[in-house]
Amino acid sequence: MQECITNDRHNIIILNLSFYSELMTDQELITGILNHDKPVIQALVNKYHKQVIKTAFYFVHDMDDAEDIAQDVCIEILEKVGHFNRTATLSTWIYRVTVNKSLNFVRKNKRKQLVQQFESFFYKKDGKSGNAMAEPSSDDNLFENNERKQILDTAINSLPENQKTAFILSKYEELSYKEITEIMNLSLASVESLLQRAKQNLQKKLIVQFSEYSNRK
Amino acid sequence: MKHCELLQKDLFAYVENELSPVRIQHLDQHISECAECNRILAEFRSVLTLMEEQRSVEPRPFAETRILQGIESRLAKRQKSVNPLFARILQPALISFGVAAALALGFFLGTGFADTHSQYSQNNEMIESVRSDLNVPEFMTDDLFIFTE
Ligand SMILES: [Zn+2]
Repeated sequence: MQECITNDRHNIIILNLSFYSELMTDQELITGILNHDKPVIQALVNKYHKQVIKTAFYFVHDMDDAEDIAQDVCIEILEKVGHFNRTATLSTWIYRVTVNKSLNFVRKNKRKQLVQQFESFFYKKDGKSGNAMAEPSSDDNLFENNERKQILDTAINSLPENQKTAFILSKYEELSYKEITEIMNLSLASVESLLQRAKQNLQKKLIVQFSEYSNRK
Repeated sequence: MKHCELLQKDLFAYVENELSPVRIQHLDQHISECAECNRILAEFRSVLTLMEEQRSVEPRPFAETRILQGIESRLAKRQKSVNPLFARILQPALISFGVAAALALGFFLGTGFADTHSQYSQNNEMIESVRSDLNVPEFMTDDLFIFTE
């Protein structure tokens, strides 16, 4: 299989790449990367880019930034695969690297994001009706969907890093508690407690937003 | 007000069905009588629906190609000296993804690439056009990249 792929790379690799990457075990991927085997590196990116981009996106809420983070993650995987602890799965390790890169990104960009949120907040108010106070579209539907999205993103952003990570991995990536404990290197009890606190904090923040909105009316 | 606080403390657990039946019944009763809690519950459900929708978010088209390109150029910058190893590894990846991109492009544009008799030379043309579109660096020989930046 490998021979066929290396020989006729112009046509065969791409057509079979996702098939190929699905078939490869962690061990084959790792050995291939260590040997600088080009189809294996392609296969690695093919297999994991979606997971990495999505996870990063849940932290940073921007696709350009998520793709940049995905590049960083891939580089780190290629460079550090030799130090990879084989007791974990490759997927777990890639999740961990992605979470760390995303958290770093958020830390570095905190100021930039605040400015953007501030701007989009006012832009939306002006753009919608020309008045400072936008009208709700109907009684059943108090918030516009992108307003709702912003409220949710802001509430998640404001969580402490550990709570945010546990919450995103559980609620967005839909990983099991066991997988989250491995990615975060925590006990089951710690993960459960983090999720519990994340939910408490989120509902508190969301209710404040909902109540402020109704008081504004 | 006491009842409102009760609901608001357990909103997540209530929506996710993690409370005891007695407690659920108690909260149901309150929600049916309290307009404010009713509204908050509705908003909360909408936000959770939005969250569920986010689960199906997809990378943008050609994200995989862009990532491979990005890896390529960054590793090349880092190892700019003679013939960087990773350039040799990833350069064919770029060509291959050029082919994929071109095939996809052809498909989307509906220009009938499927009719071709000489797939290989067609591929080369497509590689060329997509390569310039995507700003893939030039290469000199089949196995060597020259990075222009
Ligand atoms: Zn109430």
